[in-house]
Amino acid sequence: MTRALLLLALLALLIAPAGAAAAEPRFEMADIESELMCPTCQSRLDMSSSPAAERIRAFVEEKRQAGWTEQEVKDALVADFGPAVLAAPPAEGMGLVAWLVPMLAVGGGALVVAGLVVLWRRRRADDEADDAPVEAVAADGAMDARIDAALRALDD
Amino acid sequence: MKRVVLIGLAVVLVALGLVLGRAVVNSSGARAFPAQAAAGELPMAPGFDLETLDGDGRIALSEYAGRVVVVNFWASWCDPCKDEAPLLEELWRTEGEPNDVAFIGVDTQDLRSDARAFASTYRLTYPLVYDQGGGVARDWGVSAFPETFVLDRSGRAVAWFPGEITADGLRDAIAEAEARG
Repeated sequence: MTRALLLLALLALLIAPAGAAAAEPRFEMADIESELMCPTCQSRLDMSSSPAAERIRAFVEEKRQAGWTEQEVKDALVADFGPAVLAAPPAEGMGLVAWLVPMLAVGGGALVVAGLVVLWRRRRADDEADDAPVEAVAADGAMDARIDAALRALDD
Repeated sequence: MKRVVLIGLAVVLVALGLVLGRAVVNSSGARAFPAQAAAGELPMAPGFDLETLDGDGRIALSEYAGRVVVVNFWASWCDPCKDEAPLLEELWRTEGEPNDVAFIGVDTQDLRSDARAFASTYRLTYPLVYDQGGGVARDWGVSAFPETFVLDRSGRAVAWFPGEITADGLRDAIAEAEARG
């Protein structure tokens, strides 16, 4: 009997820390609040104090204290409120548009800038080519000599 | 090179246009339904097919064709919904059930567990459905809670109550819907 009680006590000691560890919060409220939306006010959860936001905040805290992971909490909220409860939409379906449009905008902008740079450089190269014969003439020593000779002839 | 730049620009502009256009159509189109109902234009209700709050089946608005229907949008975190719930339940028992007028509660933008607790607290006995993700509320142009619509037998909205209903207001709207044949 005594041995059985001792075994039970030992088992309880072994299980207790494991249970406590399981219920330990695995994420910070501040982190997840900035990644969730208030479904009724269309603003981030950390910027909202509407009744719906307060209820979601309480739900998150309750699950956090129960040892849920951040992803488990998000999954539960998406199951009830839909993907719009996430501040960053999932990269699938219509959510993909939200990811693609900024990428397209940045890509398109880079293309425009690159195009303008190429056009500008090409125009500059053309301008330099147009100026080149004048410089060549100016740099031609023989031509200078002929001009000097002609001027001297005029003076005489 | 110029052509590539122009094509890139066009793709970006078209994508932005599609996204903005969709947002504008979604917001303005849906909001038009309550406004039309309030203006007495008798707009057709958008309809729905939703799982019951208990999760034991589905309810489609089309099942109620030929009957006057009261559709109430609510959420458990909404204080006016708490004030309204006992009155709706009473009106369902006195005006709805005996006269073949259907009442449907649409819980939306809510935690399902909270909504079930709410229904239990207020002992709601009329059919309740769960608008997962809030798509139906958006289709109906619901922007605050509670909101209630009264539909005639052909599914046209004869009345819209933004905020809590009053007993007399709902009775009058039901009578008007019934009078429309």
